[in-house]
Amino acid sequence: MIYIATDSTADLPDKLIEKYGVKIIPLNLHFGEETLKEGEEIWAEEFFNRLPMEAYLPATSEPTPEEFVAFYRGFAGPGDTVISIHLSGRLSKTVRSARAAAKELQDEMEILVIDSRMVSMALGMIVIEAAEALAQGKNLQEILDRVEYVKENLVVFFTVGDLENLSRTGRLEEFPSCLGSLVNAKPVLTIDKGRVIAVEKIRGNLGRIHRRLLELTKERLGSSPAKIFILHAGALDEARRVEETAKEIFTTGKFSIVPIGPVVGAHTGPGAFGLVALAVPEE
Amino acid sequence: MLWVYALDLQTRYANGEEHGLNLEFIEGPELKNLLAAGVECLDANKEEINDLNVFPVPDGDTGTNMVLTLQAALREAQQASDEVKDILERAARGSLMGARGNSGVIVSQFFRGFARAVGDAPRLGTQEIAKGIEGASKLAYQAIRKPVEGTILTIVREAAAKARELQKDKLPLADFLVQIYQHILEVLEKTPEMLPILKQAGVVDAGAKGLCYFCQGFVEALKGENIRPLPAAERKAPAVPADAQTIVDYKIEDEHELDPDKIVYRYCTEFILKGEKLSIEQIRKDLAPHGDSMIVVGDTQLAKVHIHTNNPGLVLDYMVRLGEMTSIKIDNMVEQSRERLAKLGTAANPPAPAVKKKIGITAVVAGKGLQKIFRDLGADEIIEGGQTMNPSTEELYRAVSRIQAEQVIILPNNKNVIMAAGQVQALTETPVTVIPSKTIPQGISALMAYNAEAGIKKNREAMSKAIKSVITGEVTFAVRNSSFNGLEIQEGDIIGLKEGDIICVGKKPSTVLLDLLKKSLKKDDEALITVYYGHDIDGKEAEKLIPEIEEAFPAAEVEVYEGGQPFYYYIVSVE
Repeated sequence: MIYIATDSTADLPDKLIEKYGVKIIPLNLHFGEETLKEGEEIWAEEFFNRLPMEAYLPATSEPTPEEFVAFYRGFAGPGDTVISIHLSGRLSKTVRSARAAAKELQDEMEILVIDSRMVSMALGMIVIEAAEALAQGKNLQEILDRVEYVKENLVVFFTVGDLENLSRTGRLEEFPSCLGSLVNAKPVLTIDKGRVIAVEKIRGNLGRIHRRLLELTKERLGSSPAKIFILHAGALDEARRVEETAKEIFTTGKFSIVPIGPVVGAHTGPGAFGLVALAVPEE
Repeated sequence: MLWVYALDLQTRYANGEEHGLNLEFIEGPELKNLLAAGVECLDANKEEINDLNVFPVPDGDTGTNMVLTLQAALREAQQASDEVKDILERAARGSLMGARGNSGVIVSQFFRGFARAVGDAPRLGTQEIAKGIEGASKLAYQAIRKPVEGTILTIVREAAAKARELQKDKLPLADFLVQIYQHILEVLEKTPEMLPILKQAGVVDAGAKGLCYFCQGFVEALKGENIRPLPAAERKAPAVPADAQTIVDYKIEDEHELDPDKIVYRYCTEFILKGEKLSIEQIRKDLAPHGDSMIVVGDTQLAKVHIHTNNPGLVLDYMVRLGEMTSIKIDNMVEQSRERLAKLGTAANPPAPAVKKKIGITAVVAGKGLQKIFRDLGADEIIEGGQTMNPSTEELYRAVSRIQAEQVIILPNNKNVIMAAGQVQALTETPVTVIPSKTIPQGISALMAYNAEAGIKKNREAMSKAIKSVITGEVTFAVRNSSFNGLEIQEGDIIGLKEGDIICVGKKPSTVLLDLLKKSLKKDDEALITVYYGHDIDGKEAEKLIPEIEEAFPAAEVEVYEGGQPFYYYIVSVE
């Protein structure tokens, strides 16, 4: 049997996890001495409600190889294949732990560890597409091809409330020296080859910034209908406004609002906002 | 100088065997003198050309730009051997390096085209000259994407046509040139019919007339007598620079010699003189024997003086008799250049940069605040200049070289700098991309779109697209009386320009700014309005504009920054 597995940073809504039977391994969140498992002990809404009370953003950590071994054994056994898709290896050591576990279990089952080079719902989208292909009865190679296709064709743009967080935790590899802070410019970010980079700068209020993200997404998608996820770090009302704007800009397409989870949120900080889109050619 | 040479020719030819009128060829040494005479004639009339600017705004001056370009050509030519080919090639290179403003760039195309067409000819006869003008015309038309008739281009094309037509007449050289000259004068008078904007402003084209002055000097010197002079423009020119602040701010472009052994005059001396009934001309004459690189600008009350001299005492002693001096600055250039050399290691081996940047950006910007903003947005090198002082191709080239990047992007931020920027590629092996930004807000938008991770092609696309996403407004003062788009404008009035077009006029900068905005966007437009206030505006006064603009445009967002730009009270972007 083939299983699709991922980690909690895919920020997949419960509904989708249940629908596709995707297996999720949690990453950890550390508020001082207190360690919480994402999606099991702490969730997005609770996390962002708690943040204002905390002096610092919490630290995060990947599952250990041992945890991965237990995780895989929890649902798969001899003769099974696990397609285990995780957040970018340039942002976290999760992939490394997964590979170590896969090696450990190589005589027991087949585990294909894939570095998605993405995170949050962008990773989530790859996982859903793989699960969808599996549900349609595609074979292993077809599923892997689908994963590659989605990886290459995802459109991702996001902004954060304060670039300081990403930079402090080392998730923005090259801190752009030319930020334009004198004129209140904010960078538009994307994930490219597994790392966070700035693509351009934008000035003005949130409405303007979000409209620009939508325009950039539309430019990349062209005219084909698309699946679009609107991601927000504890800013649901704002996300709803963006959905309205999105309906103006994209005449076709499906929109879903997804909260950014605690682990990703610990790096972006509150107020981050993103779009993940994939063109779905009409059949 | 001109008459000295004319006299010289007359004495040379008065003795009989060969009169100027019967001269068949121009040879090297003569060519140098004729070029000098042409430049001098234009120089003497440059203020008139400056005042032919179509829009009455403080702007890059065509006359000054052409003279500076031609002087650069002449300097090179004078250092050439006496071979015609060498002289023309050096003049072409000199004008390329020194090209300032669009007219300067076109002049440099003329020189290059002329030199190329004449080729190895040892002397210039009517045939060679006809070929040369033809070449000049062809190259200039090729170099310009959208040639506009009624400009300097029309003049050179007509000159080429006339020269071709005259070939069959086998005229003596001087007559040949006089006829061409007279023909282009007739064409010049027709330029307002070819270009509606000239007709509206009631002027002939400035660049076209500038070229005619150059030709006048050239032909007169050859012929050894005055020929039909150009009718002076009727419009009255204000002395340039016009007001006290301008004189104080007048920036003297001064590239000091790097090699201490080559410095002839040691002290760079600069000051402002206040007095009554000052005569700028007289000061120039009296100071000239004391040094070089002299610049004297101003009016009867205030003058800014700059001179390189070996005895600043004498200069100051002379000046103190004329009035009161302020902002006195004396630098020892020998000392300075030694220090600079010490810093550089040796002049020949500047320290190599650790790692070359992939893409470097240089921008032409005036005003401290705006320069800071450009740097903060990622510009590596700022070239001082813009609206009122167009940098030369050489200055742009130097900025490009200083960056030490694999590729360089230039943001000209002024319509009159774009062409000079386009010439930089001819001087360097570093690939240069010019993003044709015509205004400061366009330059800022281009930088916002710049992506350090992307290649040059993507950046060119994104930046070129970005400059179209912003509307630029400018508030400045009128430098002369005129009427435009049904607006009666008096000298000194405050005028508002949208994308370079005068659309409103008033007495107060802030009122004109609001008026300008009201004519540029609707009351409930959701826009980002950014105001950059100029050197002459107080920061607190500018801040007060925010609630006023917000009240007029409730859906807009308003931001105000210090630009510090000269001449332009406000530069505003709407996006």
